[in-house]
Amino acid sequence: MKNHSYLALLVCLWCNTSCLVHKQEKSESFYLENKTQIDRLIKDYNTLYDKQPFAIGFSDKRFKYYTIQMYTDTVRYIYSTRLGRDLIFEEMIQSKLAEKDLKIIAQQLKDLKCLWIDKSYMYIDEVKTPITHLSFKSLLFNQAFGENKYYNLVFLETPIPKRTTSRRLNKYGYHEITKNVYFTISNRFR
Amino acid sequence: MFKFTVKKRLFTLLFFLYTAAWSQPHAQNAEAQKKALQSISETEKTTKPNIWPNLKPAYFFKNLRENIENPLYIHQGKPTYFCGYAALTHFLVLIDPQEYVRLVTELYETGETITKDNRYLTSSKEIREAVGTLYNKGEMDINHADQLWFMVLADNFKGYLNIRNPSYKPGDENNFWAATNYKKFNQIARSLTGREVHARGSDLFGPLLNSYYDFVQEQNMKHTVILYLNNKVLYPNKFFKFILRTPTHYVVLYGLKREGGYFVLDYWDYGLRTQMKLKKNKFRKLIYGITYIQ
Repeated sequence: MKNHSYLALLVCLWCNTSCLVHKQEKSESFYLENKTQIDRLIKDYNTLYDKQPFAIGFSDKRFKYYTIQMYTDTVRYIYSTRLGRDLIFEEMIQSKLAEKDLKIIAQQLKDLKCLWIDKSYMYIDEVKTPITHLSFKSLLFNQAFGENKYYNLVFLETPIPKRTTSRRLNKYGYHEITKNVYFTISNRFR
Repeated sequence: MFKFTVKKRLFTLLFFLYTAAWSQPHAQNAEAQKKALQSISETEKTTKPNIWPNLKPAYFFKNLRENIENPLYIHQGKPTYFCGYAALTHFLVLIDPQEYVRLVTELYETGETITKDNRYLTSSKEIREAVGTLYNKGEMDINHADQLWFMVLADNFKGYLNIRNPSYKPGDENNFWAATNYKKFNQIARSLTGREVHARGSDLFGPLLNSYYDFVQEQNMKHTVILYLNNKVLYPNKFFKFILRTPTHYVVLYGLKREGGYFVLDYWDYGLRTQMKLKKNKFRKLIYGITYIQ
């Protein structure tokens, strides 16, 4: 009986480690491997964003529920729902965001297993630099006792001098992938 | 004639209740705003302090002016624990911009000030060196007045969450050094506003009330309401194996209304007015504290 318990324990341990082995660490290669899909997503997102600023992403591990934040100059509208349901806020219905376009973006996010896409800005040497950022699960996601970590891709929308980039962005924890594209591992996905 | 009068009264009452429940943000007193801006200009002309080595006066005064002109845009910076201080600052600027400017400019000039309840706010050596150096926090990188003000508040008001980390080290703005438990929050509110502050709720359990909706509605008609919320319900995600049901966030309530099976919450947080639809059952899980200031 005792032997069976040990055997069961060993099998559990093996399963656990094998699962860990199969998880892939995301780094520069993740972007380069999925470059076409990611670039297309950003292009479509930018087209829609120009009509009406918004952020979109998923709020569950299985990519069934999504959250939209729509921004105007003074108000942020937040809406969470299951994929496939209609938009609720009157302001969203009246906005230039068409539901079918949002669903295309949501599907692209789901295909890439991207958790969140948004635009923001950062100050690099006191220069305001607009960015688009995408968040993904990292290797350190869904740990039993540790904090979740996310793989964040950051696209700078205006180029900055090379010397400034490496010095400041390394301090921020951003690693350069290609020109104006960086990644960081963070405990925040939004 | 009688019927018409009753109906008219009823309509007026209903209209009043509707508009009161869905109230707008506290309007700023234009005269007070003007005086606050004048006071900023005078300080800018006369003061050349050297106690904040990394603070840039141009950023400081620009930030201070923007806060007075547009209190809606006051922002705690993204990964910081400054939400409680930012919510109170938003409220203070709306009701008493001159007092806010007095407190911040005195800190800027001398490194210390005194609040309405005669409490001294001082600035430690660590804080003086840190103000102006915070980075990767969005707009807060150049909002030197906010950096100064929030860090001084965090350094002077302490609660049980700050016991293990009482003095500032670089990066502490993102951890429990800056955290604000409910009792501490109400204490700061009393100290800064000098007003009567009432609070229902705690850090562990929500207030014992039959209907949160009715209570919040009632208070929101007469007072300014600040809610102490569980952020995981406000911005839900199911990415964690274990989710602690704890409140972590403060928002200034503008309005609350029922719409179908939902509650629509209208509030200030993160530098914008936010409107969110919540299912009724989530509303009860969301609220841990209701503070109303007279």
